[in-house]
Amino acid sequence: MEQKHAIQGDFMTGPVTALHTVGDNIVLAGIGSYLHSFVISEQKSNSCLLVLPCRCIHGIREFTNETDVHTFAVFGEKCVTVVDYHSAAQSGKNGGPLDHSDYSITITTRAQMTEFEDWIWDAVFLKPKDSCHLALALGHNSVILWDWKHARLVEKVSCVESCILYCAKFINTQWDCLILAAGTVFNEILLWSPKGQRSQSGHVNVIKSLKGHQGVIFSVDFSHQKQMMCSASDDRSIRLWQFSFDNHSNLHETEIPLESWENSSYTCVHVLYGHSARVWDVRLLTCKLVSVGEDSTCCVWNYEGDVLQKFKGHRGKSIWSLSVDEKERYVVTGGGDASVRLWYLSSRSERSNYITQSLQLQQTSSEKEDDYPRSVSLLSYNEIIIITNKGFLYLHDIEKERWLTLMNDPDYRSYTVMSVAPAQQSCVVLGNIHGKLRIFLAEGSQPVWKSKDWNIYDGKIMSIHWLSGTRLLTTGPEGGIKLWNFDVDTLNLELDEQYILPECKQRWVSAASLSHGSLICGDRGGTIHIYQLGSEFRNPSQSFPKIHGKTGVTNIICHKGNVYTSGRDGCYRVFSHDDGHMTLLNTHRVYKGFEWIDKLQIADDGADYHIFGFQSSDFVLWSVNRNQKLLQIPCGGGHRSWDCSFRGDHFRFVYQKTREVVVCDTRLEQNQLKLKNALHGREITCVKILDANTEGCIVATGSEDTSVQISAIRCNEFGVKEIVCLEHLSGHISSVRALSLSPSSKDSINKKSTLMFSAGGRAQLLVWRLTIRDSTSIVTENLCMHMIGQTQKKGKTRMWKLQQIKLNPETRFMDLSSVQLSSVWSDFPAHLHLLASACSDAFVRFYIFTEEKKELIPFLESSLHEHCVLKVCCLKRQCGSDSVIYILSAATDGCIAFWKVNKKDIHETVKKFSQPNLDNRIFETCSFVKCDIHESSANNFNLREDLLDKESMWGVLPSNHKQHILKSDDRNDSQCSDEGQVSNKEQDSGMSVANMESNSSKENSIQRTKHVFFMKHHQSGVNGLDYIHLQDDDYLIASGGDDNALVVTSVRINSEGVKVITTGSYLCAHSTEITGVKFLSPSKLISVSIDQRLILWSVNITESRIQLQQMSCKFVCVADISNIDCQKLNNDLFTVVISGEGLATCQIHGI
Amino acid sequence: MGKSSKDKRDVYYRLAKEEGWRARSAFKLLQINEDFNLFEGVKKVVDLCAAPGSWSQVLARKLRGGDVKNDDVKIVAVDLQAMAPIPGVIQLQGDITKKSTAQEIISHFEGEKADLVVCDGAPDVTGLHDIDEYIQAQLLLAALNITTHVLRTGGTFVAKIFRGKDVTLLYSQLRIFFPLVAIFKPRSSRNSSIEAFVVCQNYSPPAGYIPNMSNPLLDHKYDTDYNNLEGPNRVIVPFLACGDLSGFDSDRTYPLNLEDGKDYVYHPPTQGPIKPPYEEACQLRKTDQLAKVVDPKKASSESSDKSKGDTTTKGSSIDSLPDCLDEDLEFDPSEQDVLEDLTELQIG
Repeated sequence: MEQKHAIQGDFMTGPVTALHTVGDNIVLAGIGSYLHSFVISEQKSNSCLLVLPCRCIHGIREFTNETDVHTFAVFGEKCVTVVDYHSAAQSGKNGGPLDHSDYSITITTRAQMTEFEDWIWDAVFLKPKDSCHLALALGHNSVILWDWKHARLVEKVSCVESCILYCAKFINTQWDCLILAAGTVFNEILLWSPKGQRSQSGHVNVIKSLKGHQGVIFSVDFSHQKQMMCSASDDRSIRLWQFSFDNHSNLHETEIPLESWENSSYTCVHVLYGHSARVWDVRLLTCKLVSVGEDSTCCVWNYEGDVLQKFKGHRGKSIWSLSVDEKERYVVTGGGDASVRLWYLSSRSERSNYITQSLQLQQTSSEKEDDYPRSVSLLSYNEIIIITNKGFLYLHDIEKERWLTLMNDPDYRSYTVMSVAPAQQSCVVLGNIHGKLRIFLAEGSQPVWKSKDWNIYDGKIMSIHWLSGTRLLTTGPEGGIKLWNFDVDTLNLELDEQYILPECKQRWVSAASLSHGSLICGDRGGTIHIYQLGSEFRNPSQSFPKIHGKTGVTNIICHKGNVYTSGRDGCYRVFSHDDGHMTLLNTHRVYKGFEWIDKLQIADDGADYHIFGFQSSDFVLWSVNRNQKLLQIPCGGGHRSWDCSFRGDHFRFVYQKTREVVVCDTRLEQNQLKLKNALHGREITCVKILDANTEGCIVATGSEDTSVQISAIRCNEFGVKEIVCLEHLSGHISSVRALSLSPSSKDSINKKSTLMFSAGGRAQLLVWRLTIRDSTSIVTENLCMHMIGQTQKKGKTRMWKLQQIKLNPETRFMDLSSVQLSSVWSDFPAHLHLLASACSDAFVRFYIFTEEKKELIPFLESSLHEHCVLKVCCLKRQCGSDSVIYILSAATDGCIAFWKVNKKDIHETVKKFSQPNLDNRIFETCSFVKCDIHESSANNFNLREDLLDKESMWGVLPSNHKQHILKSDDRNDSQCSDEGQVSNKEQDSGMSVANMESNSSKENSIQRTKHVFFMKHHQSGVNGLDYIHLQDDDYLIASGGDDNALVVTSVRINSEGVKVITTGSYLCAHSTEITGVKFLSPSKLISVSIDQRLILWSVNITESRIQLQQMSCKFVCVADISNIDCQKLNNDLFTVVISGEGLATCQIHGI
Repeated sequence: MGKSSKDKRDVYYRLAKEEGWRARSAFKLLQINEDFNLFEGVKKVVDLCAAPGSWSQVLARKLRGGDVKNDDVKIVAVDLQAMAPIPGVIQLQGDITKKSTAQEIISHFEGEKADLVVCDGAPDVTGLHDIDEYIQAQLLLAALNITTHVLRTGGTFVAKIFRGKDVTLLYSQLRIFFPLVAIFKPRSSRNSSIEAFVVCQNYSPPAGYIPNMSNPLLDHKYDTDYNNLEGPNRVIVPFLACGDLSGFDSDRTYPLNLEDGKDYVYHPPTQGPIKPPYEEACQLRKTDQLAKVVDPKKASSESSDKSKGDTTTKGSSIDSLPDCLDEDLEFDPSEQDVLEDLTELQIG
């Protein structure tokens, strides 16, 4: 039957549950129902095919034959299929360099998918090779012999023990001596053979049962060569079992016959604990074993039980799958984060060892004996420059082990600052305590060192920074910054600009960079200042006080118009920089425990960031993109004077440690290749489409892994759809549960700009601005953070004492919905937005967000529902000047409430908020306008009245997370002292005792003006809610519930209120809870559910009722579906995005 | 995060401790009973997969009404693990897939069969939904299989079910044995959890059905007429949520002061976890004894010749530091809603 309304799945990603390496360059992966093929050399997927419709692939087994065609059995759940894999690269090789067409492959189905009665845990192609027999191990400990070419069941054998298995592994490849090692729910490994002895019932007896594990068995493997078995378990251990067989004939090559198994003995030789959670899979290699687990770690062990390597890089929870190539050169792992990563197995002695060497200063004269280095730097990979306490400047060639004394000057005793020029030429600059600057420059191929002196300050030179090969920045006493032009050829130094660094504790520039006519400086107090070049003005034009905390800014770099800063607060920050003005876009914390960040480097042309710093007693180089430490060198702790240099993947690190200089040579830990990018480490809870066309789309996803990610879904050069992360946003401290989008006031035709609200656990709400540059890049800005009931981001004890009523920090935001006010009332400015939120403490909370001021103003709230509120949805009723916004909210009690928001109330709130307060800062507590209840069916009305009274006591103060951008005018007379900044901060958040008092007095003037319409549509939680405008005053509202029911109601909303016209429902719309509903048109509706079906419904409205009819039903290969979003592409085509344990997109035609 | 934070997040966890239940799941059975009157006229009950014993506690309190010596009422609790004794409950350590277990249950009823069989068993979930749902379905079918041996005609069977993608297959299986099947979600079970309960009433096995333990009962398959995978035909049994909305909402975040004038007091869990499989691993982890990456030179006990006098060669210990990255994600309990529901107080 031809379906008019077709739902077509076009992309899916999720946990990687099966992996298999083919030859040297191909990895096959099972992701949901799809078999992906990856080319290792390209780090790309070159093919993707649906092989197990509606099932999840759990295993791929190869049929070893000598032809170019590889044959595989692919199985998952209760189904198996056999496919062929033809590779163009192998058949059409002509010696030339490979291009993309060489990697084109075709996968064809050899045997149709067959479903069996029980779960399939393992499969093996049996010998002889022409037999076309496949053995399958089933879920209740039975084995099936299946003729895959003729789709015929040959034999089924069951074991006497028919308990539930958690894994099974075939040993041997001939039916006559086939052994099954079955891992049971009862913590045992049972060995039995389909050809073994049968009991009276016809079931086969067990040969051996291996006991010892304390939990269910998740994986078993056997090595013929070692005659060893290993098992992984729920008890987090790996056990190694040594078998000995009576028959001493050479068992290594051939298969071990059944009798030998019966007469064998075994001992458990090792119990290995290395994973910090459950172990999912383990594999025995020639001289190593590899295991993966729930801790997202892959461990490589030797047979003595030592861990040789630990591969970490997968995000979030669990590595699910594992494969090792035939030559045992690499491990491929597939994670719950949907990524596929390849790790090299070469031993540590060959890779990433480091050699440390302590340099001895020359001992020529007695004077030098008690001398020691003060500062150290690398001039090139091989040349170290050292300044000593006694004023010696040494150049040491590491390779040639040669020393050169460049200077011996008592003027530079005890105190010298040194900086090495970044450009090619060898150039060193020194500054001393008397304000003298000396530049050393090497000239010629046989370098001759020249030097020249300048007196630049009347006092100590505090710091020197090279900004380029010809630009030099110095700081002198009293914050005197001088910017110099240096001419290499004439050795001429010319003063270009002078500035004043505002007062702070250690008043010198700690990091600096030039960007588009501005000088950006960081100081030791964590503040970043911007100065304009060519300006008369010596003070900063803009400052970000203490943005990097007390310990200072360590590095500033510019890349592609953005400014990146790092500090010892463990964070790096990204700023945009236009017309001399910087705007903070984002703050990134590298990882917990890594606070001392000293340097940031852009790597891979902006695709990766390298972070250098110290973590406890080690020097660390972290790759953000790989989510991995590339280096970790134990050096005893943080060192103030250090330098490093690369040569290929060789890395040299020098540092000064008390009285010595240490050189450390190592190689980068480039042991990871990402074949497929990661999505989220935990379940995706919400998804929104930012942009979509027929080629692909850009989506925002929020996850339980506490991050929000912006990703593009599009085809790669092989024509395979893939997901690419554009931005990974951290900032949430708990899981993200809801996203809402609203057009930004900066939105224009050529630059799509969107506001994104994200909220979740721990009462936290963030506001971002996303500007799409093109399909490959996006600019994100964090505009604001709000926490329910918290007055200040970093609350001072004083403030906490004042705060009489603390809200419960365990409150979770469950859902968000936003609307740009100007889209309803054209006289509102474009930067105002209404945001509705559903909260787990039974409140609905409404906010007004001003994009201009980057502030979120609490507007209204109510606990009417008395149950956890699950959904909110803003309904725009547009009728000229009478336009109104209605907000629908739904809770776990199955009720849907309507809230009305008037223009007048918003106006007043905005006005109140923008009125100047005591401190002439923008701050005012908004009084909460409580919602009155107009409801007939509430049987506990009085109780609610009481609650409302109580609410009026809940003085919630708006959080005021503002960027500390101070215009030059403001800053002129304000001292940038520590105290000064604190008071500044306080002003920002507007909290003072007087303020608090005035707020509480205002709480009494609460109006109760709004009325509510209430309807109960579901037995329990409402997890899907949407509306569409029908005609005139009529709207359709759809809700999907935990009770499997789908309800569509037609309501009339006008000045008289809300009235239900007709209702229609479909009680058993899905077999499990509905988690998303969306209208495509007034007559078409889609719903998704945990039952993993996407259903398209037609909505027929008659006078008396609404009829829902299922038009089409599509299985979605994403478990635990949490949300959907859809967008109309054209009159006939919609794109739908579904989130859950992964992400899927579908297209719906023929509407 | 203080010890009371879980009390704030999960009101039923807190109430269970306050009322002396071994797990919050006690409320689930109480709430099922409120709607179905499960215990009316019931004298003989079997509690399958009983550990840690909260359902047996409910059965004992409700059926015996505090009278431990009431001989009319017999409660048999079966589990593979041993559990702390409950007055008035006969404990039986055994495997529910064994015929001997069924026989032993019946022997406690003096040859008669049970009026009610309940099963709150669930596996430790792995996180792969298809596997977890499959294992739970097999557990339910194993419970159903032993139930066909011990339940009287007309009796009631209540079991935990995961509402997953293939749940309709289980429904159709249950409908063969029970004309009345309903899916019930108590208020104490969270909105976000896939857990629910099947209440199967009026046990009436098909004519000529002979209970058989030697082969496992397997779940149904999709077919074209009765139960389609993607088409319009599906057996979807009616869903019922607990009718009483005035009780506590398991999804709601409550303040610690639930009632005015009554101060919050922290209660420790009624009973600590029974020996979990990961006990030893956790102990090793706590004492920092999990295997770390070793120095390859030391591992192979080779003393390498040093080319330079003061040069030391070491294997870098890149991964030997505590897992600073994983720690946060793994132990932030706010992320573990589903898990908590399934493992009850054992996570504690």
